[in-house]
Amino acid sequence: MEGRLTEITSIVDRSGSMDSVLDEDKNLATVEHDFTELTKGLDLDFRTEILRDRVRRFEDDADPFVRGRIATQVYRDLSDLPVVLKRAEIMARVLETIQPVVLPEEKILGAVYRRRRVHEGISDPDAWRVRVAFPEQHGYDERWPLPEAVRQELKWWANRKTDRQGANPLRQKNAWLAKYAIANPHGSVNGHTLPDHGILLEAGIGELRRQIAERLEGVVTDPQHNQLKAMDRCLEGLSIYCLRCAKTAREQADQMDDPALKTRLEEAATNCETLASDPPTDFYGALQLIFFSNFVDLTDNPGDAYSYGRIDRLLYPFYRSDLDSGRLTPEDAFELVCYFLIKIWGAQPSVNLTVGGVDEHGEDATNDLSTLFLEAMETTEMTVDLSVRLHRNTPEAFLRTVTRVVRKGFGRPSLYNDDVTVEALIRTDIEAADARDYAPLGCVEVMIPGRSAYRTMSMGLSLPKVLELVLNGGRCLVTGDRVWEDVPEQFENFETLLLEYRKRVRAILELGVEIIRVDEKIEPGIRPRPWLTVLSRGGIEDAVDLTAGQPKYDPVGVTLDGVADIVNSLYVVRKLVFSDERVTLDELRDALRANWEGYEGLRQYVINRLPRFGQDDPELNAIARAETDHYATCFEGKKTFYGGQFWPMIFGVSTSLIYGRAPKTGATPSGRCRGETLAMSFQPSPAGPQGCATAMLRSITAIDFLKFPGGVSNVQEIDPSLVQGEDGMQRLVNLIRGFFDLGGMEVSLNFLDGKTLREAQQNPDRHRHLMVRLFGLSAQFVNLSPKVQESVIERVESASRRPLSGG
Amino acid sequence: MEPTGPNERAAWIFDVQRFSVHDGPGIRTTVFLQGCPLRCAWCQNPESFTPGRQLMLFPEVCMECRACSSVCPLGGAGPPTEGDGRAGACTVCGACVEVCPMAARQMVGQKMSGQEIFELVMRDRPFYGQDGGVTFCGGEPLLQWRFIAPIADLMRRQGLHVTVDTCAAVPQQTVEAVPGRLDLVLADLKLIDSEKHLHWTGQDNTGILAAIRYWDREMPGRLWISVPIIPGVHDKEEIEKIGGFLATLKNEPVVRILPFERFGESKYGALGMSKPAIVGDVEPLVEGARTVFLQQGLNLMVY
Repeated sequence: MEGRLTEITSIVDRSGSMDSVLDEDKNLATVEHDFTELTKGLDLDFRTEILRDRVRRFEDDADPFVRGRIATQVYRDLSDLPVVLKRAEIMARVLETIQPVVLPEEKILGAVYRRRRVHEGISDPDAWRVRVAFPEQHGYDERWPLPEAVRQELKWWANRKTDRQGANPLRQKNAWLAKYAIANPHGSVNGHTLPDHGILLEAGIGELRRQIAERLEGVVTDPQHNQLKAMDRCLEGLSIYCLRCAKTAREQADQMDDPALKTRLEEAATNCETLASDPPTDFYGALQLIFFSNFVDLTDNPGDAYSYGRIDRLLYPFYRSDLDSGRLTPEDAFELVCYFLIKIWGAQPSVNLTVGGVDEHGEDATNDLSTLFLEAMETTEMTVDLSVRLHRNTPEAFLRTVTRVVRKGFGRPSLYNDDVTVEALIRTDIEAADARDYAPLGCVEVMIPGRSAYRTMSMGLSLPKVLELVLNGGRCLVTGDRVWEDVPEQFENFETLLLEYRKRVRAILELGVEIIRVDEKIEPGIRPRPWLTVLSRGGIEDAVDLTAGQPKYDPVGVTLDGVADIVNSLYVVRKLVFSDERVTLDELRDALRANWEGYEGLRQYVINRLPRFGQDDPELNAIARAETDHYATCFEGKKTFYGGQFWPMIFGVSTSLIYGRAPKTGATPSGRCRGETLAMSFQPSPAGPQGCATAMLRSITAIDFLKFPGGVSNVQEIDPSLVQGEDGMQRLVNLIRGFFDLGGMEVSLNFLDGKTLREAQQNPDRHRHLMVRLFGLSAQFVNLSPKVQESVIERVESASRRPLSGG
Repeated sequence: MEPTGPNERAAWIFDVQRFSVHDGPGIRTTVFLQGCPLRCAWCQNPESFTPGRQLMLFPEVCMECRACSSVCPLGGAGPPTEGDGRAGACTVCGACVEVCPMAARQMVGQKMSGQEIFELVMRDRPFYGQDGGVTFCGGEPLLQWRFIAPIADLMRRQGLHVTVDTCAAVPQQTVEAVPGRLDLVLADLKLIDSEKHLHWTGQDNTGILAAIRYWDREMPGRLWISVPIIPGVHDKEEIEKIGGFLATLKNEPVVRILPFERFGESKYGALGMSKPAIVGDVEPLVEGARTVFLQQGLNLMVY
């Protein structure tokens, strides 16, 4: 205990070291309280220490199969019920059944699913937890570690058709896209939600139920009736859950000897009792209700990536009025936020909270809470997926707080450039005021809270694979299959080759768009989302499900996997074969077919002697710009099924990890052998010399991000020794400002070294706090699968091969 | 290879490092010029001694593919086991460098025009902020003052912070020209004992001490002194003398201790030169210097 307290104190001391800088800076107009001062003086309640520890050990993690059983009962016993009512019934029954786990030290009540792993392939031992909770999608698996009674019940799904199987005939017909690791178009995704929790915070459960009752008295069709009934059932379930949490807290309070804890539990109980019908009246109530609101979402989504939205904006009215009335001090608010962050922490959270940014008029909207959430994450060291929106008028003092927390090395917060993102959204069909209210969803996907459906992460196009097929007469180098019959064997010049390659890219994207549209069309019949419709603006009035085109906007975010391998490869082909005539196309092909075996000299030449993406080489930058432009252009004029636009994204989560693409992608002209990592998003290829941080960032900004409104994932590794001390702090500020001035869209920074990570692999217990930034989320390093741990270490170690700075 | 004359529009450069953080404040680009009046026994950049192209060989990465042998006009190039081909008539034509897949053969030293340097430095303009910019380093950049002065003017007009990292063994005329045209000078002070200085660097330090005094007087707050600490060269007495000299400077320049690092040693081998004979542990000397300098009230920058 004492050790932990010392640790906290030392953190607080470090955070206090910026005082002199902050004092000098008078630009505190919108930030009313200096929380650096505040946290310095605050000795965090020892109970939060215990709580953090219990939470990191998952003591309060709910049993995942409770939902699985309920889903089985509903699908089995109520099979005639319309699907939207089935979904609502499952949610409501989960809320009526699941044990409200209350740790006596906490202030925010309710169950959590901390061990839910995000994305397949990560943290293998926990993978069953999501599947067992959602058997209607995943079916039944004999290997799940279940109590016998649960097993018997879930067996009902064995050999039964689930939601996932066979719903989209066009996907089945084009299974080759996934089989050859070319693309994975999806028009509906698991998780990935960004509701407008403000709807619930403002009205409260009782008022929303009243609105639904009133709407039911008007003219409604049968489907609308079902929709409204379903939405009401969710609210009813939540109301009951509030009361059940209150009851549990009261029971614990009765047993409690410690008077302080007793009072705390009683207050928590009263809080929840009120929320069962009324909107929150204070900051504490608002935090509790927004937590509940997200939890309802968790009971319905088998995936990852949930979002609280712009939490500093949502909660500010409650905070403000509490301060004005003297009910709350900034210290109290800070403590509550600490409890909130501890509550929502998970091993791989991907639960996004956004702070900072502009308001609907484009003015700076940074407030006290923006700072407070950052400081709370810094103090508690509970890394959540905090996102910070920055823009050219972000107050300097706030940027410094952000930078200080970034430098702590949680891999979070990730930083967004409003100046680029808002403009990119306006260039689609988004009204300016809505565009300015964007928030990242889960990881880094951009959406508009409560005004858009959440279709994102679609497509997953792998350009290196397309080039492989084009270079080899349409043949896959891994299977030997001829995927396309009509690809020429020879090309007169590089331009002809490039045209053929681009033609194929376009054709795949056109096919992908059709597959996505079918998914969109059938989604309401499979997985409607009544709860999210409650939290979608106009949801009750329209009485149409969110998945059926209800929201104001219906975009689909479409991802391109990674840039480095295709840019390097195209350059190598042009340079070696067509410009320098160092090898013939046949010779290069032979090398690739042989997986470079017998061609080591050529491979090493490519890796060591030719410029690579990330070194700020003008020719490579130009290729990056041209090919990403081409990708984005392919979606121009295309409409989603519900009439929205396709939003290009660059987000390489799927490349190597999720779909196991590395082994399915043959040797690439960039010098990569089959099976070696494909670089994600903007990361440099792991092999070969790499550019320094500024060269890397300049290379990235060769890309026109105004064409990528759907968001991009840009994780960069920085050698921590380069940003030490106060000078280092200023350098980091300059690096971030510079990147955004150049038109950068998003960045998150890791400050890790391979040695620490190896040590964590050996002694996981001593490194439970270690969070690393993956593609779109922060994850507890020790809880990742060995395969993913290795990929993180590979990335970090290759970044350290950048040239040494200094003379 | 002819050295760059005073009016040349190009200079011999052996490296340009971006995101440099130790050569002055902020984020910087450091431009390394070839040519130096001193021959410090511990020099980390032996490729900077004389202007011109120089062949560097890194036999440890050679894959023995013999691509170099096949292109060498003299037939001398080859894997390290067969001699490095550098002896005798090698004209440093670079044919072997072009074909070496492992970059085991590298050419160092290239002529760059002022415009080329300017453009490269400006690539990182967005990251320099208020305090960052460019550092001309070497070798001895001030030997080519007439080349760098106009570039420095141009860069400062663009808002860059411009610095030189100098050994201070430069003509008086240049010393006097610097304060008006640069934002900061990083000057080395290696030894106070002039004979020792002559012995270890090839020149005495009369001019160097004068230059440092001049800059201290003429550019208060804009002078940083770097003191290299080298085992076998510096001892307690010498360190005290250095501290004593620095304490007499009236405008309290920033003082930095640069401990000897073996980092540059491999370059001597790569250039076919013999390694400097520096032996001993640097840490106790550095500790001593830190203590002495702090006792003498110097404005010591601690990393």
